[in-house]
Amino acid sequence: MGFRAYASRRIMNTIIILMVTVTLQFFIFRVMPGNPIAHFANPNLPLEARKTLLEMWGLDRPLHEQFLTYLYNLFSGRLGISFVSQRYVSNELLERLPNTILLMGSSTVLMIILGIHLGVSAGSRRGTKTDIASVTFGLLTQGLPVFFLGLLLLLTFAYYLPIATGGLINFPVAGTVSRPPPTDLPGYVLDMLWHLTLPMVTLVVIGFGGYTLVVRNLMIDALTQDYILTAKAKGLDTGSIVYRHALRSILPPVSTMIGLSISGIVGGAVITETIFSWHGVGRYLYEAVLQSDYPVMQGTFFLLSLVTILANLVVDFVYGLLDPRIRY
Amino acid sequence: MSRILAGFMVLMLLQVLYVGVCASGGEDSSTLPVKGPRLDEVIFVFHATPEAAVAAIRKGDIDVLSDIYRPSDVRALSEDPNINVTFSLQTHYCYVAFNTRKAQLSDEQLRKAIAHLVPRQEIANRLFEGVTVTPMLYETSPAFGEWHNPDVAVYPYDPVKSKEILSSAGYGWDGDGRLLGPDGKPLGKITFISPTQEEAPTSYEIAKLVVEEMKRLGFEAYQEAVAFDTLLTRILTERSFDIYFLCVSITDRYPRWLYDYYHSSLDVPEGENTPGVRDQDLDQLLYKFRFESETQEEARTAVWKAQAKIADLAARTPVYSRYQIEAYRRGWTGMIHHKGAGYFTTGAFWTYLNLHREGTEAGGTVKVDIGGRVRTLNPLYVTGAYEQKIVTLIYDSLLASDPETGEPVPYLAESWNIEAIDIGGAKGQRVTYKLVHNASWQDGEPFTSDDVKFSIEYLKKNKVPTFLSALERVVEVSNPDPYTVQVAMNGTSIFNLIDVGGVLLIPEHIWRNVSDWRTFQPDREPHPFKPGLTKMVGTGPFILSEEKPGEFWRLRSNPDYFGRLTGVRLRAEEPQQPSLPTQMQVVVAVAAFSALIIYLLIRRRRNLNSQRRLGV
Repeated sequence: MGFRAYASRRIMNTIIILMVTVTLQFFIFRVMPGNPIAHFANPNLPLEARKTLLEMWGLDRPLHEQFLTYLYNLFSGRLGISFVSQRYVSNELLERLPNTILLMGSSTVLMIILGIHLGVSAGSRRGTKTDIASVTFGLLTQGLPVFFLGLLLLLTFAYYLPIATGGLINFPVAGTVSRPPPTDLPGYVLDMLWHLTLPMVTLVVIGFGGYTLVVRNLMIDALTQDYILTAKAKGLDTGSIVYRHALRSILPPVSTMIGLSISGIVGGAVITETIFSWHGVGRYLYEAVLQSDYPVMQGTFFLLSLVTILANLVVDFVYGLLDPRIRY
Repeated sequence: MSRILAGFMVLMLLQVLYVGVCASGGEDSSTLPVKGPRLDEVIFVFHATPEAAVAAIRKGDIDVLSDIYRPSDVRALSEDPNINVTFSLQTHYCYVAFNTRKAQLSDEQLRKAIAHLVPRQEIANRLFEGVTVTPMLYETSPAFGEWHNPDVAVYPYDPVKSKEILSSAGYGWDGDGRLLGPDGKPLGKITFISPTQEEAPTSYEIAKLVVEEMKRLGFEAYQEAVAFDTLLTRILTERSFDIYFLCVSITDRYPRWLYDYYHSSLDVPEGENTPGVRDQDLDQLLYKFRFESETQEEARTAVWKAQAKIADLAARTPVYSRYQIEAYRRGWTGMIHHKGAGYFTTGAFWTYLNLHREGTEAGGTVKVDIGGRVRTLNPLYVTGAYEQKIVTLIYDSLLASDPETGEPVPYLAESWNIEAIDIGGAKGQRVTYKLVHNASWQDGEPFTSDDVKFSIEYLKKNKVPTFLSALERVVEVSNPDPYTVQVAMNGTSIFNLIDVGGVLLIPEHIWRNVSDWRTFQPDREPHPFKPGLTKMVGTGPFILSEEKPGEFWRLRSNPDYFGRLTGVRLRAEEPQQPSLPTQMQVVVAVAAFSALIIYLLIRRRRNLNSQRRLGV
């Protein structure tokens, strides 16, 4: 089977998976316990008003009609209207996506670079202090609860140190920008980077260990292969052997890991976003689940499914480029 | 020479008189309890966790923090020399409710016996460290002032009394101490449903404490922890519960929610009469209070009797009320206490008019923690307390509430008159509101009776849920002149005046072109003719000048506010619309920066490799 046939089969599979996911996403939320109207249940909103809300949200219509409306909203690109804010879900997502991509994108890139670099160093120096330190540090940070590390960093760098140093070290306690932010572009960018630091460090510290451990083990295995022996016999320097030969050979499984983390770049990190009051997709989804805001849950999960499924598709196609042994 | 001097003196006198007339006509004509605003700006900021909010006020990033509920935070803030902490009684309360539809719990005496088993003081001390809540015995708290009846049956924690009640009602105990019904048979299982420990730890513990007390008295009692959503569905929709515990925040200054909670017409799925109370006498009293009282005294008498009846029925038993705990950094003055609310939180409108720095008469910016997620600023769709903090400073209504008594006071309506009328053979009322002459919308358009008529008719025609109940008895609205509005209403309730008087007023010139009020986001759309403004235009003391959703909302003082304080100079220049870069620009800039770093790293590695290859 050639690449074209393989690609068309994979694309068909992807479309089927997407349709099944979309259908499941509608029905799962309907059978979940909870009732959106219950969140408005207080004496200030009488029974008649709550009935009107149900009509407004379309929840008084039969299930099949709701399903068709849901499909229409998904494929029209607006993803429905949030029960809670009465805004189009697509608009609300677009408002948060840049923040999430900035936080998750930068931290994912950094954790991949740091994790792979440490993993390669540890794997190519097996049994040395570098190896032991990388493995120990990787295991330790990976096991840290994110809320603990986040709060620790927040209170240390945004509260205690600013007071102790008279404001010399002073990170913000909340937000993606100062309130109000600088009005010039360079100032605004620097201000945003300043706000990005603590949440990004939290995510990188928590996340790089996984890459380090996997890459280290793959590297140890790769460095025992015959082609590495050949490379050494050819008199290649260590850097070339490690990075051009060994690392290249382990890229397919590493790219799978990276592919799986791409949906996280869009989906955000609920706990980190909450601790640092980061206006992102993760917290948006979390609040929607708490409030049974069906359109938001459905729209956000649709986006996440789409990105995950597409990322897997791309990774499958990229395999062939990364590993010439793979034939379609 | 003397003629010239005399002429000059006359001119000066005329000028002084002219200035005096302008000042009184333009600024001092209203009779508001407080005038202002004294502040240049109010910035509401969002913190997603209490840790961040507490750190922010202690660090000086914000000036005001409301809704503090964790005892540890109260202690930390109280010990901080730069911060003042205030405690106010509020209209919030938590209760244990019984399902009177169930066989065992239909017995009033059994419910009273269980009510005596709620260890309120222990709950306050153990779960809230004796700091953030006050035990409560009355359904209507003293924060309701004259509407609170202190002379009703109460059920303080007293297991001995509980046992006595059961004995006198014919209940008994078998040899193992199990409670037997009046028929001599075991009473059967009673389940207390609560949220899970992870979701709501204090509610879970309260249920556990009450169940333990019940078991000690021989009840076959169990606790069933369920997801909060499931709990609400079982209570509100399915009515499948024996006992539950829940808290509610009342925003009304009058105990009108008692009608929703106890009138038999609301014992329907999704209705608030969750215990299933059906009592004709109570129905009549509540109806009289809510819809038929022509005077305040009449309403008060009816609701006092209703409260006594409700206490006798013991279908709900109050447990505690949370204090409104607020903190502000020292250096601020002019806070006004609002009965049942506090100093800064939702409903504390007058504080923002009078707040200023100590030692100055006016000016400055106050930064206030908003308290929670602001979901929308569409004034018609706002249901959350956090959005209300912003919306109430921008939009106004005809009447306001006196901060201390809660009574209606003149606001955009400087006076009113109520007359009895006949509507299709039934009793009705016509309320005539006389509007102030010096109010205008924040975009400069005059505020007239057309806007009031439009607002009431628009809200009623579109069945806007938040105002549905307040306007349901409105029959007709007319405006005989630009400063007079007449509203004909069914019934003769004293609440007719307040219901219409409390409705939020929207500008006709903005809203008449809105295609769908539900999805309209006035804060996100530019004003049609006033640069620098959005369509979020009210008559209130503050103007929305900037916002970054999920981050902050900046309000500047309205220089044309009709209730302005005379002689106070504010920084009332035109809004400086900041040339904020778009988020996409920022993302591109940061991506370019990251790419540069990665490129430099790769280049460095290549250099190192080359050096290694060359044996350097």
